[in-house]
Amino acid sequence: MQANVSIVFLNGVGQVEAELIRNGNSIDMRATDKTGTLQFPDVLDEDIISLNGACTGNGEIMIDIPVLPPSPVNIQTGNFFLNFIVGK
Amino acid sequence: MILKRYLLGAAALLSVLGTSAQVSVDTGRRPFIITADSLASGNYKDVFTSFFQLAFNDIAGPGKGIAFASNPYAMMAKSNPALLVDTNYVKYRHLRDLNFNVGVSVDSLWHLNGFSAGLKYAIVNKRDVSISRKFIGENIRNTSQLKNFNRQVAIWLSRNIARDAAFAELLNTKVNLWENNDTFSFSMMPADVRDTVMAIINNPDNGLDTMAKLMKDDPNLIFKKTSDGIYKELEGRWQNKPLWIVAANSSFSAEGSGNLKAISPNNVMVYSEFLAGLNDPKYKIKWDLDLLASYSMVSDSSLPRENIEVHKFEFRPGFNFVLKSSGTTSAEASKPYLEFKISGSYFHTFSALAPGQKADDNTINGELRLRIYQDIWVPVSITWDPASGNVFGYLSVKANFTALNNAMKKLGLGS
Repeated sequence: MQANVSIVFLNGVGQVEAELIRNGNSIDMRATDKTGTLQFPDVLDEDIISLNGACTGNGEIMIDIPVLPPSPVNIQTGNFFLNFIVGK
Repeated sequence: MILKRYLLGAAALLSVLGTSAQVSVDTGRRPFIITADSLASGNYKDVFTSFFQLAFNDIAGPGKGIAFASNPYAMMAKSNPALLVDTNYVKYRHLRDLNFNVGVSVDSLWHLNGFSAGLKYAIVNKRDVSISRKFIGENIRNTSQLKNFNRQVAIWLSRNIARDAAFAELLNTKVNLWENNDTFSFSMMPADVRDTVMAIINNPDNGLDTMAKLMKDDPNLIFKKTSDGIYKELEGRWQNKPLWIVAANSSFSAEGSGNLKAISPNNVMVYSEFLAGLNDPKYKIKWDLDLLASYSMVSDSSLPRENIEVHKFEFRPGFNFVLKSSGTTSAEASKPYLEFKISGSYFHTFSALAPGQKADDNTINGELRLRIYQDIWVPVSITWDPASGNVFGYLSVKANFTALNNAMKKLGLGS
């Protein structure tokens, strides 16, 4: 399945890096420094979508497939680190 | 009572405009300021503001007034929130660099007797980290160890979720909380989660030596405070960068009775001010260079009001010292609470001089600012004229707030 990771930065700028990890291996990596969507075309249950980044304002991260923790997740000024378990 | 009514009016106005606000109330000669960003030095916030500002001027004196300042971007974004998205935030940065202000003044009976207007533009504002992708990039490079920790947890989860999904989910929930909540310490995690996290950190193959040292130094580490500290430390260093503004202000008097008032200009001033940090903010005492040059045209009270006769130039070089900063962590270190500014003013009057008046004049000025409680500043200003020996001093109060609700509570006006 495809996972779309949508990031919105508000009141400032930001940057996010996303990595798809399966059985301890890196499958795919995406990054953006502006509001937009990162697409992972080949995602399986129990994969991990690992995110890290920072923003100078605030924002929101939304993943369009079932994940734990559930999205959307709000981000505030500063650094953020999040791991999402797919299929939960 | 009147002041309270004005403040409530201001609150209503600002609640229309937004919750992050800067409000200024003058309790004498200097404004009492409520601002949205309190990390910067008090001196910096006096030079340029990024948000809304409402000022009550000279409440105790004969020149009472109320003034409102903002920038076009803030006004536009209030009616069109899409402008807050980063792409627009960057696109309209020049509108954010423009401040405008309007104000009215009243006499001792609260009758309108004048108004004012002005524009201010930040030609250079390198202190605004909110717009800087360079700042974000440098910050992310500084957090490489924390980023690696998060990645190693992800790798552990992907390897172990099939074996024990419930524990993997619990660990992920707790680690996400630890990484992103500044009140959640390591000891708040269940013991089995702590053991697994420490095994990840201490695994020599994971390259988490710095993280292991952090945990050794503080076994009850709050991860989020560490990551915030890295961000705030860099943000503090950004506050050393230059700020250069140009501005023009004008005030007009309204004289006469009833609805028929004659409007005439009584003051026009153009000025430019430049700030730049002079040493690394890691030092206990930080200092800024502060240069101001102004040219003012003021009406002579001995002549008809429509005549602007006194033309005066001022050059005021000075230094602002941040003497003390609160807290022991790098996140708190950028919050100054004691500042001292010393400057010298050179005046030259171009217009005809009054009997006994000199074309050139000098003063020495000092201002001590103390943050007495969280966001409340008390500046004490002194000006000394070496030629006459006269000393002028005044005391004021400035309060910085992150939101209007807090401001109203601290002013005793909110619930």
